[in-house]
Amino acid sequence: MTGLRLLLGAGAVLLALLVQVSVLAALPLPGGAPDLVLVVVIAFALAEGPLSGMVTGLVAGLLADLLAVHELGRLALAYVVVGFATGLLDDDRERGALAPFVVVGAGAVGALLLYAAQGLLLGDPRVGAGSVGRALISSVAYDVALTPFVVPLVGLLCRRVRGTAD
Amino acid sequence: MLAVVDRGGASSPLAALRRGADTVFGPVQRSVGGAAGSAGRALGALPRIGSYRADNERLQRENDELRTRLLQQEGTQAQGQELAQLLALKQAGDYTSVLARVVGYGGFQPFEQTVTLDVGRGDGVQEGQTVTAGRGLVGRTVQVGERTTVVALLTDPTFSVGVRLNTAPRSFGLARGQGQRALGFRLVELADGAALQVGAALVTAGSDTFVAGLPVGRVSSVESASGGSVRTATVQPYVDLGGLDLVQVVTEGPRTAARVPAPPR
Repeated sequence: MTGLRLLLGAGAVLLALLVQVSVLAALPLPGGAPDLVLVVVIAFALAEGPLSGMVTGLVAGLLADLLAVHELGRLALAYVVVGFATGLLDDDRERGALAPFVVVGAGAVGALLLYAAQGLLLGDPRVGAGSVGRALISSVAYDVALTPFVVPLVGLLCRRVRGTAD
Repeated sequence: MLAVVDRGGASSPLAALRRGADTVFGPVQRSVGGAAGSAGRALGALPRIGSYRADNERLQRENDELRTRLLQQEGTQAQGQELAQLLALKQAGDYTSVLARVVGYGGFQPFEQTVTLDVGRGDGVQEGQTVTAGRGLVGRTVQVGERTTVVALLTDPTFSVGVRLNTAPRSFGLARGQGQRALGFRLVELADGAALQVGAALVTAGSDTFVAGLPVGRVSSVESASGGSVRTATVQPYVDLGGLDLVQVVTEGPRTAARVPAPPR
């Protein structure tokens, strides 16, 4: 990873965090809020591969954990795993136009289930069958809705940076 | 020949026809004529279109400016109202509190119902203090930093508070958050045969953590009792948790009359 790529990743994650806590989470949407940070992590993984996906996921997850009231590391673990898994499907392969939507949808389900599973292990009273079901529907729908705005933009920026680095 | 017949004036048989035509075509004509007139005026105005454009831009700028000013004014007005409400509440309860603004919402996963305030330990805020807004209870501080504080809203599943019916001072129940921003929360274990019905107002019972007598919410539905004195109900909070802006953190409970220890005998 070159310095410029690190800078791009850090900037995108910080911006996503800010927009998430001050704008997206405040929207009066039923069910929950779209998770912009997770979509940014998946977009980086898709553009740069599993290693970048993991690093971005770890940093973003830890920062997100710091801003929330649950145990530190829960979102970090969820984002790392999702960043690695979606990074295995990075750009080198031929992809259809719908592929990013499917990947983000699957990533949202994966992250949520990982987070909820940790909640069950830790005895989090917030995690129950009803709340997980509601959250699954809303988070998949909202995250997929963010995909056409975030994934192409991050992909473009990554290609641009790679172009200047080579 | 028609013209001859027509010369009969108002009494001619064709007069009715003409009146009919007027009734039918009149409106059409007037509108077409109006359109034609405007078209003509528009054509005549073509040479002056440059000045119109300048006028238009100027007016648009003016309009934008006025609209912005109006919005700002509405904002200050709403803020003023909110402050007045907070002040009234403060006078009613007579407790010490700090004013805070909501600067963030907890929202990386849909399970936590929290907001972040722009006050912290430096402002005298500590964990477990009551947070209120103009119309009533908002939640409890759970994570206090130097400059920011995370508040668990009363709809958060970890939140519970002792409540009583406003009209029945000896009733007591425990209200727990149900996790959904709009669903309100549940009142369980309401002892006492007090009338628990839809629309009943609930206030905090008062404890180490919570100030007593704060408006909490209104009962929106009552579940049919399965015998005994315990009833459950769903409660809609008074405060609109989606649109929080200014809140206050109670840093010190109400000062009650000093209790003088009985002298030893």
